[in-house]
Amino acid sequence: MKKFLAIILTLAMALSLVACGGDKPEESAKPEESAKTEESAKTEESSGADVYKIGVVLPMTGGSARMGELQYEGMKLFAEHYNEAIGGIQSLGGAKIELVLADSTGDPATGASEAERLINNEKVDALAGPYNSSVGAVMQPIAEKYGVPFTVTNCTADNVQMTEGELKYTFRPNHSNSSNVGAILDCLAFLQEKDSSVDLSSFAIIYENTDWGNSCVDTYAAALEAAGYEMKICESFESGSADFSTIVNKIKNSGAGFIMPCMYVSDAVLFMNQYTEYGLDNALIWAGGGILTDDFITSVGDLANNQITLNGWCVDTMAESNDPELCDWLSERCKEDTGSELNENVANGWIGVATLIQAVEDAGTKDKDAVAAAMKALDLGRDSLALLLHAYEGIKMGEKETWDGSGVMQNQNIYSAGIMTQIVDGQIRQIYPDWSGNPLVWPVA
Amino acid sequence: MLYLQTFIDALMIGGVYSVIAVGLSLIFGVMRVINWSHGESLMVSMLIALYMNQYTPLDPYVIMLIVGAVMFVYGYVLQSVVISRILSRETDREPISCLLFTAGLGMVMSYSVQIIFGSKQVMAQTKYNGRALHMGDLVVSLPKLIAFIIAVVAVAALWTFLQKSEYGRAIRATSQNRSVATLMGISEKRVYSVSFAIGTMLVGLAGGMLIPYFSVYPTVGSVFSNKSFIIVVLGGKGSVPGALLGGLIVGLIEKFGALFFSESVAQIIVFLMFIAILLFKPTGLLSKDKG
Amino acid sequence: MIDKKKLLTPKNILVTVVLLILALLPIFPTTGAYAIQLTCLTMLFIYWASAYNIIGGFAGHTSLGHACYVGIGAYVAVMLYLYGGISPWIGMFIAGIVAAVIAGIIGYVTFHMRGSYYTLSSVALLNCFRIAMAASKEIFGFKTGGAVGLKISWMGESVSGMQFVSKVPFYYIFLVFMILCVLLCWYIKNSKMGYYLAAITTNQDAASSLGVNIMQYKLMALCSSAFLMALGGAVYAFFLTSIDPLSMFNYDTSARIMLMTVVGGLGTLWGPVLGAALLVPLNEWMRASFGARLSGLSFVIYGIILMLVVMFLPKGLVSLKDKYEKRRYEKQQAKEVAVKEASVHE
Repeated sequence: MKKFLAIILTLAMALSLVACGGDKPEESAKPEESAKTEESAKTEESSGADVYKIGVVLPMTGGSARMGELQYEGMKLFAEHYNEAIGGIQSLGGAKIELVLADSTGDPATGASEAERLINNEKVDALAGPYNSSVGAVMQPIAEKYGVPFTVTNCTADNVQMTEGELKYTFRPNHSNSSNVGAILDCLAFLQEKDSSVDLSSFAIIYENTDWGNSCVDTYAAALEAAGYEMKICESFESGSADFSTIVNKIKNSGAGFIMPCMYVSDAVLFMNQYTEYGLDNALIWAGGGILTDDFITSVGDLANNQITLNGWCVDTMAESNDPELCDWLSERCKEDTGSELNENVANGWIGVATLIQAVEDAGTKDKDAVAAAMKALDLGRDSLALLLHAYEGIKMGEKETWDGSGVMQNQNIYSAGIMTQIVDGQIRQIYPDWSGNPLVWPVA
Repeated sequence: MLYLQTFIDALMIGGVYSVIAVGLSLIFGVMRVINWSHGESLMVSMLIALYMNQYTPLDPYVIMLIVGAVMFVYGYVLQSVVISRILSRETDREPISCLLFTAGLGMVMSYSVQIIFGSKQVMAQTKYNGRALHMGDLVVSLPKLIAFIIAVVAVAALWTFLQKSEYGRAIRATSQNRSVATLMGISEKRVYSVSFAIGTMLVGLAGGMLIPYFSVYPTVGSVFSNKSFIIVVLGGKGSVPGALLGGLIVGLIEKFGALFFSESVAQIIVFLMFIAILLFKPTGLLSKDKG
Repeated sequence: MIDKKKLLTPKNILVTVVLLILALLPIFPTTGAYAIQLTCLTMLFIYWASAYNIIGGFAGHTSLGHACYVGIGAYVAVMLYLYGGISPWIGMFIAGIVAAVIAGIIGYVTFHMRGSYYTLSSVALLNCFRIAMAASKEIFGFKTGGAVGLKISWMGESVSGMQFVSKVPFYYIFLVFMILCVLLCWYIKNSKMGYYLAAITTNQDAASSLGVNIMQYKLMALCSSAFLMALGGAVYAFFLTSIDPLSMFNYDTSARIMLMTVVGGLGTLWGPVLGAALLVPLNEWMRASFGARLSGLSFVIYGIILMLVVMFLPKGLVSLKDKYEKRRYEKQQAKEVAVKEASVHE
């Protein structure tokens, strides 16, 4: 009867409360147990003294799942190495790094609610992630609002580090879109000089109709035009539904000097195939994205050779590392766990968490404001563990102007920069800044 | 030359749309049921074809035939065991329950695949990838051309089957008037099962012919199913030539729309045309009544 | 007209108690922020499912594209705030009216379609809106952000701008919305409009031959439903502080809302409430416990529940109550008959 219905309703409400209120009693007991650090008694919101919890938001499902998986691998390997080889966070008495993973599915709303859940329910000490610029843009105000240190990994769109007031808790150790502009322009000039028979004065840009694709146009295409390159074609497409035959045709007829595709793996593979089918011969300068993964190379086989792309990292970046043995270990483990070689995603995962942990070491406490202040004050050199994989001169958070000077990014690593790489014999090799001894195939026949 | 190239591309892609849509159209025409899991069935077919291609030495087009057969059985069983139960409960109104049921089924299929196989987008490695015929300035992609030919042959074969064979006539009779057909001794349930099975079989064939040039991932089905729904309405439900024409028209709008404007605008034009058809000729372009 | 005895039924009392608990929940010290967030979402979906029920259940037009009104509501309210400085408290009503007008046009054009055709067109329209919003960088000269969407920057607490650190204010907004919506549905169901809609749903031709103006009542249903959806969408946008075409014009959201209503009981008053109250916490709980790898699992469960309900409980979960009552009644009858026979034999 009617009571039955009302009972079900009440049960449903009760169930939902139990489901999320369940672990609270345990959480409040933990700080009392540990008398080690005074800080944990002060901040009732932190986890136990022997653990430093980092909430990781990454796309584990959806279109960027592979990149999310690789980024997480970088973070995971760092935590493992730090906990075992170094023995945990020294200034916190050996507190272990614990990563709590949440799936953003690549969707901003999901990412935002997962970030809130990590902060409020899991009581994490800091946030890391989230690979997708659109999710990062949404997580930044959340981190600022709740006052949680947030180390941004990948997520290269300029606007993630931009806000009207002061950015206190959000930091980005890896490069931004604006920093890529310099690399592209310099590289193009370099290639044009190397062989002037290839006309690079005009271009066609094809981009997926998402946040990242649009930011590519707003940054790269705009910067190229400003530098005097002629934009012959600027076309967007719906990711996943693409048949590029019309676009490819248009490009064929446009006489563009080079093509800049901004797309993830499946679209990149399809485009590569159709480019070959239609017999196009325009130079290809990719904007990163799907071409940075192993999957692209295995999917298109030989076609991948000689592809030039923007990148954040490649094996040559690692060549001057201060601990080659550790790098080998990382390589092996990454291959074992994910079936993929090291790439930009793994490297950015590493540098993101490493920088944060260095700040925690400096602060000597889990207190969020102190850690944030320590991040701001960081000034790491080439010998730092965080810079194991990257070739930046250092890590120092500061202000950086966007490429056209229209805005200012805060808490951006001022030494970060993009590089240009080319796939040679199935491997991604750096071609710019020019590292002597590196292979370069130009012009691409 | 650009226009001719675009025209050829449009036809080839339209042909594949047609073969996917015609199954849906048949099911809708005969049973008045919209199979909301049509797209997911396509995704599963592609998945099976992908794995068979990876682990067996068979030619992808032989695999296509096998997948088609598998999907025929799947459709037959699904209809006779499950859908018929739901259908028998409906009154003469449009059976929404079947739509809802198949929507649920589609959800389960799509997300299960995501959990089991992950969301990676995988392109099959076949010997047809990236190959094309060059006729002067024109470029005709080989796997697309083969897909087009098979698609047209399949649609033509279906049409002949419906027109000439005994079974085909039984199906057409049932779609015109269910009760009278039953009075004539036609087993309604059998007709439904065969129609549904033909629908899923065609989707199976489509899956097989798509893998040399289309990536496989859990939500690939929705790309095609959205277009299929439009084509079914465009061509008139139950009409095989209508589905063929509808598929070609959608292909043409997509390609020429992309040529003159952009891919996104082309998609919008397709949807707007869909709305226009619903407004002015809801029974489809080729039908004779005013709807 | 209001009978006091009728009001004080056990069900009504229990419902009032539950509502009181809900109203006081944020004040209890043990209630965490996550419980608040979860209940917020549950109430929002109860609200949306009830709003959907007006057109999907009462008027019998199963739409799978209803999320487009959520999107319209979100974009209108956010753009009014960002470019016009109009407070969302006012903006949301404007958004609702805009959605209702658009719904009116859509309804007028698509209502002659029945059943599956209508569903198809609703999905096509949703896709159309999504792609159009993603492709266009601006509307009437105002930036829409295209595929990237719009963000409401955090600039400190503001009541007029619906910017709060804690979710508690939103909690109360959603609570009020939910209560008012269910009340509205109750009112519609028992009003003249409700009777006419029921007649139209059962047999449209018979109803029209009796002089019922089909189009008028269907439009009333659709426009009020759209208005409510958009209102919710506007507040939701400020709850999230960032919107983009993919998440606002989202097919999965549409499907979930329809699913909750169907599973609960299409066309009933408590169906949507029950459906949402069960399925939303289930989804959130699964995401929290199974985490990253199995995040699609809740949709698999949704799909299975939908299939089971359609197969075995076509009238939804609320019909369980009727079946239970029927069985109790039959048992009672059997008992009485047995007693009678026993007394006869004496």
